[in-house]
Amino acid sequence: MKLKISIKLYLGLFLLLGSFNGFAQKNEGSNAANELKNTGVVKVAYDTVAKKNLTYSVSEVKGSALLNTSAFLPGNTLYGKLAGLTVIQRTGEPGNDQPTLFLRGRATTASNAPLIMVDGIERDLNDVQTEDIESITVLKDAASAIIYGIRGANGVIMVNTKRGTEGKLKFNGSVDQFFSTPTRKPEFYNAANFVQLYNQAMVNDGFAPQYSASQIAGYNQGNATLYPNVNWQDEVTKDYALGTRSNFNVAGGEKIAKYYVSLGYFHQGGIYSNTESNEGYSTNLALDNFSFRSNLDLNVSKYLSFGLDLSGRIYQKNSPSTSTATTWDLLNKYPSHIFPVYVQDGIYGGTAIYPNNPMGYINSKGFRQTNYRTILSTLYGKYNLSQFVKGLTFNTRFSADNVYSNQEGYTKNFAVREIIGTNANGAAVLSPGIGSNTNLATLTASGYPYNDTQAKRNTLEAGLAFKPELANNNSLNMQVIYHQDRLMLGNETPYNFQFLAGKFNYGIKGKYFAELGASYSGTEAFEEGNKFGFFPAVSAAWLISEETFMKGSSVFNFLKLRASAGIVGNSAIGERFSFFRQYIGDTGYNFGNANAAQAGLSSGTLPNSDFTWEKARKYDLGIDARLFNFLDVSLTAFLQKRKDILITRESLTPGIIGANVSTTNTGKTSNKGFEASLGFKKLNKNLGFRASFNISYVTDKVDYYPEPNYAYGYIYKTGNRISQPFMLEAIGFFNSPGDIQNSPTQSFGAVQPGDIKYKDQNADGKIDGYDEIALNNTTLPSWDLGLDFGFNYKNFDINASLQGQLGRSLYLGNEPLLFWPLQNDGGKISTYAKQFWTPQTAATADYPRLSAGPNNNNYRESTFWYVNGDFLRLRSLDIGYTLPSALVQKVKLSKAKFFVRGTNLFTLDHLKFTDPEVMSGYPVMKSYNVGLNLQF
Amino acid sequence: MNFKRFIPGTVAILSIVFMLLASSCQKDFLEKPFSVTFNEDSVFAKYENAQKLVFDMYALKPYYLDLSVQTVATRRLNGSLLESATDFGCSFRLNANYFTHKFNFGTVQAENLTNQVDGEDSYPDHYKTIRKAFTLIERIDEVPDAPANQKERIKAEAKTMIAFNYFELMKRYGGVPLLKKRLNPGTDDLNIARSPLSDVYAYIIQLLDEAIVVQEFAPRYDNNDFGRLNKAFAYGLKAKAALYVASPLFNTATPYLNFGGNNKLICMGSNDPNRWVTAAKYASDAITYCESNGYAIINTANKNINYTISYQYRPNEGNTEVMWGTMKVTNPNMAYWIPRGTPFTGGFSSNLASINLIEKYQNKDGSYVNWNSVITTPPNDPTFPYKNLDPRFDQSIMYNGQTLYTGVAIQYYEHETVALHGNNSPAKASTQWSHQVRKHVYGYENRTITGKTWQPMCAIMRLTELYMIQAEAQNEAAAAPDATVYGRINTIRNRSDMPNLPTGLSKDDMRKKIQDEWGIEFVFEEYRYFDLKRWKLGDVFKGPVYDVKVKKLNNNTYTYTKYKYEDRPFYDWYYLHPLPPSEVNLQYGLIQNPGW
Repeated sequence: MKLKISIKLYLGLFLLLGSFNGFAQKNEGSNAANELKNTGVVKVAYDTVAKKNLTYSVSEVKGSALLNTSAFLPGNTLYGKLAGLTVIQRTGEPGNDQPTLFLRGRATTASNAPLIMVDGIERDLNDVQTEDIESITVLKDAASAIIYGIRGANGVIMVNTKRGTEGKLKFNGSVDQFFSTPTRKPEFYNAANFVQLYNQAMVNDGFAPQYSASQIAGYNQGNATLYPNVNWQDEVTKDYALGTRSNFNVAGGEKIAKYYVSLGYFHQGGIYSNTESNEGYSTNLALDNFSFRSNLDLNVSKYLSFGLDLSGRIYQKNSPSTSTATTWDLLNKYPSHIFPVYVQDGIYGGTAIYPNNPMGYINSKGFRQTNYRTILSTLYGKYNLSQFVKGLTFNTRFSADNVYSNQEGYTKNFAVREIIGTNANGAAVLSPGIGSNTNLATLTASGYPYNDTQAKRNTLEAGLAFKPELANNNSLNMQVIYHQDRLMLGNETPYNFQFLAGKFNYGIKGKYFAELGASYSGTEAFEEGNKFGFFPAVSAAWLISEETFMKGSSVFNFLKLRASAGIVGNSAIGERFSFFRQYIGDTGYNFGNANAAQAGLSSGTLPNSDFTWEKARKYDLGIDARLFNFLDVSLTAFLQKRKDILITRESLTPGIIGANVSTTNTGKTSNKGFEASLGFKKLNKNLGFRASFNISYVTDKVDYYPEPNYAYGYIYKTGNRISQPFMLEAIGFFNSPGDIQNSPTQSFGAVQPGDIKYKDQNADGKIDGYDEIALNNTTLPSWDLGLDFGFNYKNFDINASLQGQLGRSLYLGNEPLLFWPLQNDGGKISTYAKQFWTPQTAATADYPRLSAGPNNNNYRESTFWYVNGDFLRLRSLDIGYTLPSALVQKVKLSKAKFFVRGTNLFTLDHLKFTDPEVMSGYPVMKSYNVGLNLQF
Repeated sequence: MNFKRFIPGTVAILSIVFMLLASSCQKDFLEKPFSVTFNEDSVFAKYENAQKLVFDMYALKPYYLDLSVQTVATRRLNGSLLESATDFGCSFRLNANYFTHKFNFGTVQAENLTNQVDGEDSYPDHYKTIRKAFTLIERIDEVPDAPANQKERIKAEAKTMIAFNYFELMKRYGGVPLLKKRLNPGTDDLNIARSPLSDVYAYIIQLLDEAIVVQEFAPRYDNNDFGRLNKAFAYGLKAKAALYVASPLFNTATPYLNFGGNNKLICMGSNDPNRWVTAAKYASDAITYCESNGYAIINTANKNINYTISYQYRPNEGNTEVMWGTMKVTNPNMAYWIPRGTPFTGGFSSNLASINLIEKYQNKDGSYVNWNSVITTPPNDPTFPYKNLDPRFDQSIMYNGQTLYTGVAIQYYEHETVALHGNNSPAKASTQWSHQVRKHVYGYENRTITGKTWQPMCAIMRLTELYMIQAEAQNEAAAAPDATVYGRINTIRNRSDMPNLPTGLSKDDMRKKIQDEWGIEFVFEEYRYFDLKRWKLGDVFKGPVYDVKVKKLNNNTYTYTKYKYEDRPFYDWYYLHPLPPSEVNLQYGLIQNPGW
């Protein structure tokens, strides 16, 4: 039997022929979220394969689905887009807002960060321009990530950029303008309310009231000099900030050469006000970013082809010289009633206790610029060896990335003055300056990553791919890949990664597929002889719909069962070289009349002789189906068992050893859950509807954590969630002295009626640390929901994207400035607290009595301060109008579209007071865009 | 091509290429280039390196004046002295999270006291030092280029260091696990239970005796070696250890709380008056040794400065008293010591002094100031109540009207006219009390005036202490106070311009005088907290603690009104520190002290 072997190959890492979903769909929301279709191909590690034959667990999103928001960083376009990918928003600060990503939840106490590969090379997701993304694939199970071996356990996020296709030049340009405004601002009681509440707090604590009746009257009346009422948030921030975003790209090519070239500019301003008062510089936040990309493909001969990808960006962020976190803390901390913003023209108000007038802190402390320059380049070659063995290809690839960053700027200080009274004319009498005004001085390294840093990564790869075309609809796909890369990060010991990996996939009659993959991979972090691990995986798929008994089913157009199992590793465990022990320089001491420091030498941490990486055994079982020819369904259940997690042993070795003991690879966890996706699509030119919905659930458990023996079983971490919070259980407020008398003794300070009462979990008559039990959810959600849907009617289309996270909790104690008023004599009370406990309101109080002290009894981790963190957020809403094509063709355009767009327009949640994801700091923004997209 | 022929051929080709690839892999690609690697053998191959190990043995020694760290949260006791947990003081009250408030609120927990961030004592640190010392004792003889006399000296020094750390452990925790060598985690059993208090004491004396017989161990080290342990300190520590086991807390068969079969961990197991005799003898031996080796009680003509010299100055500046001083920081950050309010910038007032302390100071004629009724001064004479006090008062305490180095008088008063409140007053600067520590700030002032860098020193032991030990022990050992008792106390008083104690005091009266003298002479050197416990005077912690309110009237007179600041709890289990719960929970035989 003769085999007919085609030269049409799916070639490992090469994307040259892979892209069928090309340029034409660019920027059309209505074609978004293509992931469920069981037709077409999908890019996986070092390969592009037909979706229907896939034996792995992967999710895919097309780049066109990511363009509906005003988010700058690609990470912020992924909310709810990919089943299994949890995206956690951290801050709203422009440029600093890359989210935290979890793929299938938490499985270790070390880093859970997935590996991010941009066009096959490990790169920062931030360095990609969203417009350039062709698709993003997440590799979730062991089989799909097996090639990455020792680094595959946290999953892989593959970003694939656009490439040119044969055809005439296509131009695509879009420009839009947006303005952003905080989703929510925390609110505080005004000065008049504050002084009364403060007095109440003082009285509650057994002190005399601080403010006299005349002062209270003064605040009630208001007087900008003596009885100010400053809303710092309103004073130093504007209601909105402007931004602009544009991208122009051209693509095309013919047989010999193909190209995709793109250029983009993004600007986003900050919401600080009065920032232009300094001569020569601004103190507002401002982010400016230019990005470019050029992806070229060149067919040199019938057998030989090359490609060259270049991309880069120039990024500059301007900001006040001070830290953003501190600035926003000041806004939540500085009292509204003590001094006005300015006590006189150009002189900031303040006192010795409150010397950092927030207005001055932003505008009179100098400025800082953060710069990035990145150049990422990849050169690859492919040699088709069909002349020797049909179906065989040799691939090689080199990459050189350079990321340079620095911070520079100037800093100065300012003096504040206090109003100590008024003179006969009613004008303010000022105190001497507190602090001093200084001139601009160069920002120094202390406390900032000020020094220039450079990260360089070089990759070298070579591999063979063998994909003969077999008869009887059988298939074979074999690959061998050698990879090495070295990351040089400043002056740290280089990070090296090396593997030799391969896979063998065989399909019978287009119905049964089985794959064996393996990786022999290692990193520099481990001991000689123990640097490499062997990681195997198997996977299989059964296309039930291809069986004769299913042919012609009116329900199932497609039905596939798939399963995989394998072992992958995680070497990002926070330590390197821990197998080694050396004597290290130590503090020593000072001796002699001159107090001379004498350097010491001491033994370092005792070695961890078994120092190794984490090993994850992963099992996946899934069904993919297409029903009634319009509904795509995918269900996957997964289980992961991870071991050799690095645990600090400090707390397990008697202190009498007298030395620092090493960590030990003894932790074990398990992690399990399921993912489900539904896709629905009915499109035609005049009326259409599409929706895709994904939901995933994941939970984790500590299977083994070395712990000392505790007196009570509920103290153990083992058996609980990883990062499970432990806390006291609040059971109401003490309502009377008798109530206190009859309750267990609370050992966190004297209590009085109105204080929080806790449950005595161990019934020993004493409330203390031993009564803290595992309660509430972790901050990481168990449930992730994403819904993308759209309509089109004639020339209008509407697209929306919703994201939800359920089964998470918020700990308000993390933001004491907002939720624990007056703790340690704070100057403000937020309106989160409405119904304070007083003897009169005892029955309806939802907040403990006010207290001006530290109140260690009330202000500690307990169920009282945990709030259900579930939320549902409208991440984007996009309304577009496409001009009739007859009209645009007159001006030689193929398409012209106007759109209006909103990002983070509303949020449903339980907290309501501030943003449920970012409770304090630079706020999460909602934004509104208008824009235009042109294609020809 | 036939399928069956095709497969083996392909596999063969692939395998060859695979092998080629594999062999061309950079085999050493992952190798880490180790820079300088030192192991223990290389350390003991060279005297220079071994010496660094000696220096490092001191890295964790006590230094209560640690002003190197600016952040409150990571400083021991948040920048306060342990006096703030006694009737003598208070920590900065505006921040009620400051550590020592926990004692005063009665909320201190076992976890707090021994935590390594801001707790009073880091228990494992003592064992780290002990490990370093044993390493030196075991291996210093191997160092080829070390002079023989230095080897002997270092071994004696290391033994003294081990004894000192066991003493510090004993004083806080009672009996502790007693290690007599360096532990090897691979081969040694780490489950070592607490030893009886008497065994720990015996081992301390044994180590010190071993160090004392070493000829090469000098009575003092000066100049560049000042700060290293010496034989005088070894003598002194013997007396101090003996004093502790003679004192009521330990010298009993019935400890402060019944610990059942474990009583021997927290007391000596018997009440033996002879322990006082031993303490007196050790103190006498130590004084004799010191005074025949160049140590002497400072007694210059300027009696207003003798006291300061004794705890603040270096030997080369005339301090003939200090037996071991520890130093760490040059030009330290003074924020926690200086008052709030102008002319000081950035002050925190973390170390406040109570009237309970001020009342202990006598006037130079031996009388006391009566603080119980309101004191009204003549116009413009704010320091009126303080005028005739013991010169040690002015050297230890900051008070209203006192002129510091800045030339500006401290203003703790609140004014009858609100706008004229004093700069350092509670109302204006949030200074909580009207007295504050000057003792260690004094050196700062002095240096600021003379333009020298300030290098604060903690006098861990000075000859004065041996005089006090001998006086106390002798008073307890003898039937009635004898000439030795009077002599020692009066020497200390006289050099600070204070009169002799009245003669004919009973043993009990003398005990009270001695206790007050301890309090005054060693105030803010962290003696009070342990002394009160040693004497089993827990009730003194309860206070009530008093402050005075200073008011300046429009007629320029001042009123001083004593008021009760707070009552404080003291529970019997406070007598000894809790062991770290993290250690106790490991259940290797470390039994928690009763009550915690």
